Amino acid sequence: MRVQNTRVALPRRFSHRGALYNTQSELVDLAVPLIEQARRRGAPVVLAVATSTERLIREVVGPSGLVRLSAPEPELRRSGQTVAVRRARELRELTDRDGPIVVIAQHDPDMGLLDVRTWVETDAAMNIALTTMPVTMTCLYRDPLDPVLAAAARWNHPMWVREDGSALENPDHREPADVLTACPAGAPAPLGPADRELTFTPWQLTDLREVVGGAARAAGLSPERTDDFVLAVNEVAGNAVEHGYGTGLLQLWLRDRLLTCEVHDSGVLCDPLPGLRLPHPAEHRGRGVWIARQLCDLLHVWADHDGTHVRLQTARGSHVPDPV
Amino acid sequence: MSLTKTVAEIAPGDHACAVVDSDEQHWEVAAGYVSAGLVRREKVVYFDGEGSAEPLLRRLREADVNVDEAVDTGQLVVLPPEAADASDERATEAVRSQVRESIEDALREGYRAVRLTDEPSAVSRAIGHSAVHRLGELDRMIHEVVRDRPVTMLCQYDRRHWSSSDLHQLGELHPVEVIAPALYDDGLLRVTRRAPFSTRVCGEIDFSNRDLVRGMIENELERALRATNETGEVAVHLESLRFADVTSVAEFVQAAEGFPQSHRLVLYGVQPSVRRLLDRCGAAFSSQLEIRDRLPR
Repeated sequence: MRVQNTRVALPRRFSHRGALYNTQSELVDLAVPLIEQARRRGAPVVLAVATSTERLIREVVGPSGLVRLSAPEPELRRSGQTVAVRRARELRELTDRDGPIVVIAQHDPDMGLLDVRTWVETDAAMNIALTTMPVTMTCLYRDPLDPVLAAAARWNHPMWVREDGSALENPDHREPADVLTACPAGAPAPLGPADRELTFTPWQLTDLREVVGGAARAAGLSPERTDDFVLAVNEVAGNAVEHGYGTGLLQLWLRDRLLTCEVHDSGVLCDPLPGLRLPHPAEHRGRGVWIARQLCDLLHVWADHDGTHVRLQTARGSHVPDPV
Repeated sequence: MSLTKTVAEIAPGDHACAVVDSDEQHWEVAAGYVSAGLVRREKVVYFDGEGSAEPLLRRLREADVNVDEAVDTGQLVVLPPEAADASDERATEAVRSQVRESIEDALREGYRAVRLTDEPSAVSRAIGHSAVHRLGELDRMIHEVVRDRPVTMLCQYDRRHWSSSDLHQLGELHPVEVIAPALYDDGLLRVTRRAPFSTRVCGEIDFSNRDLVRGMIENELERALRATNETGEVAVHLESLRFADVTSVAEFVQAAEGFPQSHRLVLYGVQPSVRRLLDRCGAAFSSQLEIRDRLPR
């Protein structure tokens, strides 16, 4: 998998805006001027909205210059941080090719994609993952909102769009870490008893790599994807023994079409959304989880009274291992 | 008292022993011994007492040895653990016969010399204290077989499987002792000096040992700066570095960026997985870091 890198730190270029609507026609009234402005600037418009909304918008503005983002896969829908990483990857491809872009996103509970907690986490994680990207994203929320989501929507958007379409600085905006303190990332769906467990110290990371590598090969991953997944789990496990009093627990599941690892330690999670942004080149640390996130289909970090937990997941492959 | 030699100095007629402290040292000695024999067009027979064939062949490939050709042509023969079993009198006699047949077959096939090696640690596990006595008998028998013939013999002992007094007695049986010094060896990572301003890093780097990497590169740079080093090159050979975590790879990149303009860090023979990680850590942007193919043997 190709992972991009930069030599210098880039300035903040992401503009994240929130807005409320009551009816579909209000939504279209808010979205259409944004799309027309973007078109005048030659910026592509990306839609992450319900199919019915997209149809209405296309009827008004025509199909030209509109790009559709697909809904997150079901297994990602309880990890807002993973959704944000995925969105960042998709949008980076567009901005690298086309320059600045405009994104219209819709929150409608009837879409049934993300629950309230995950939506809050996704919006907070977007504020980190997209920081340096030339993206103007307007998130449209259907009023009335769930009380938690209503508050968090205000916290997560530095700009707020008024009914007349003008955007003002939002005095209620909070940093992502503060949002996650008030509304922490939740645990993913339990997977039942693990197929394999391993307690490890720094000196047993090599055994951990052996176990994960063996499982990845058994899951049919290609040699390159096996190396990548082993590296990702190793990075998380290294953090666990560094920050978690020297020991960690690896759990591993090989189910259906997914290979899943969890790494648990008893340490305190200082940064609730680690590894969402590539650190400055001069920084010695902080690169491991960022790279791990690029190499997995899912990497979800959460904390509870027992400590810090990370789930990493990759799709099983069709590679037939070479006979030894 | 034994004569000490490096692996490269072992010559036909030598009956040598090597006491290894780690897997990486074991593979370094074994692969060095085998590849030297292949280069000299000798027949090489490996009694694989410890089941080391897979890592040995991997290590040979990392050293750019055409293993498949050597195996296909029969120049390199790896005999399974049971062929090296000397745990009782009958088995010992079988090993002696196997050695004699291997030598005679090789000479009949036209090889000018034969290179044998074994890893008899399994005998220690099988019969405990009497292993030294048994191996002493076997060594004397083999000595008779190989005497006055163009044969080189290397017995490899893993220190983790033998007591000090056992190793002392076994050492007395061998006229030559092979030494393989390292700058660092923790059982997972082994660093050796290849030439002035040139080191070889083998094994794995992770959270448990990565602090060493930056210190090692800084030491090499310090030595290069104080000496006359016309190339301005600090070389690190990574052909056998099989895993490196993100922080340690970033250390390579950042160390190179800290080099004075007169010097550069050159990484040779980087494995694909480490190469990908170097790219991910911005190696392409570091003007004083160069990545080259491994040097030809």
